[in-house]
Amino acid sequence: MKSSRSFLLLFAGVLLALVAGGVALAVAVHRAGVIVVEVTPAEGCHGDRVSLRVPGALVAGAAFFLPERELREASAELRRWGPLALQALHELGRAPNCELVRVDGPAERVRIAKQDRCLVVDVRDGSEVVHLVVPLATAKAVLQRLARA
Amino acid sequence: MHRRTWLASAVLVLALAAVAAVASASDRWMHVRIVESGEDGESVSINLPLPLAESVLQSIDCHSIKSGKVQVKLSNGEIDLPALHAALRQAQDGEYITVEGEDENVRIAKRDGRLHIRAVDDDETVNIQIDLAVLDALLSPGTDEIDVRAALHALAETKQDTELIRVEGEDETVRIWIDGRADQE
Repeated sequence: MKSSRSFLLLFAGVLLALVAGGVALAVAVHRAGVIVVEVTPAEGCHGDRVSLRVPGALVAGAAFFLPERELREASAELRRWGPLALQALHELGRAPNCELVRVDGPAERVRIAKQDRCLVVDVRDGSEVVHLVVPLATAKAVLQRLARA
Repeated sequence: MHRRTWLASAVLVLALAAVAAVASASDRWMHVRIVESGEDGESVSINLPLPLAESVLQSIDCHSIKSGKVQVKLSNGEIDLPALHAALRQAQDGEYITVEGEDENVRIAKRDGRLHIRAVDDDETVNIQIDLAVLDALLSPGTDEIDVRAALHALAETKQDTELIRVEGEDETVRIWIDGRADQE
């Protein structure tokens, strides 16, 4: 009787831990956002259509498994500008949603904006339209990983 | 008693949220707008929260820029800029320099705590106005450096909307201004 009670308690504990872990993971994935890369042909143009959606948490996590040698090479380059980029990302995180840069030309349009904790880049030229969404938290996590290498 | 504590906590939380919202809304923004004329002309808009510009500048460490300060030789023997700045600070409001040439007119005046510079030539008109407090921050006394970060901080402290630079040329118009809005509407 006593052993079955212990088993039930253990089972409930494991279940609770699994649920709590699942909720924590879901919150982390939601907070990290989704990296979006979309390339579509401009109106009236032919070309490939690329659409990529990757959870930011996956990219940030993958950064921890990058080979040390590759990381060191990348981080040597980043050592100079890394702190600057990190500081910019931190301050950008505090700023409200806004359009940071907009270039309107006869052949090209570029828009860089902060939108819902993400950096959004839209580029439209004569042949294609590129839409890029990078969650600030992911960019920050990857930069921090590179800085530690 | 318990209810009163809850009420006080709720009021405190609401007050803190309001303060945070006001602090965020009161951030000053620097805007740059460049418009090229003609059919092929491009237009560029840049909107930067001043705290972002300030802290990014603080992080730059390359060549002559370090911690938001630019190393320059301010007193080059011909013009002693710090001395000129000190004299300007003490002087009364008025128009100090007026040059009327064949090709160019230049006017430098001090008015309402601001330095106004206007230069007009055949191709373009340049208007610059800068708060003396910002100029104070820009020119650190006794050093050969321009403290751009301190100037940005002083600009952020200024609650007035200010058009810093306006250049109107035949080919393009450039405007740099500070206000409390995130957009350029």
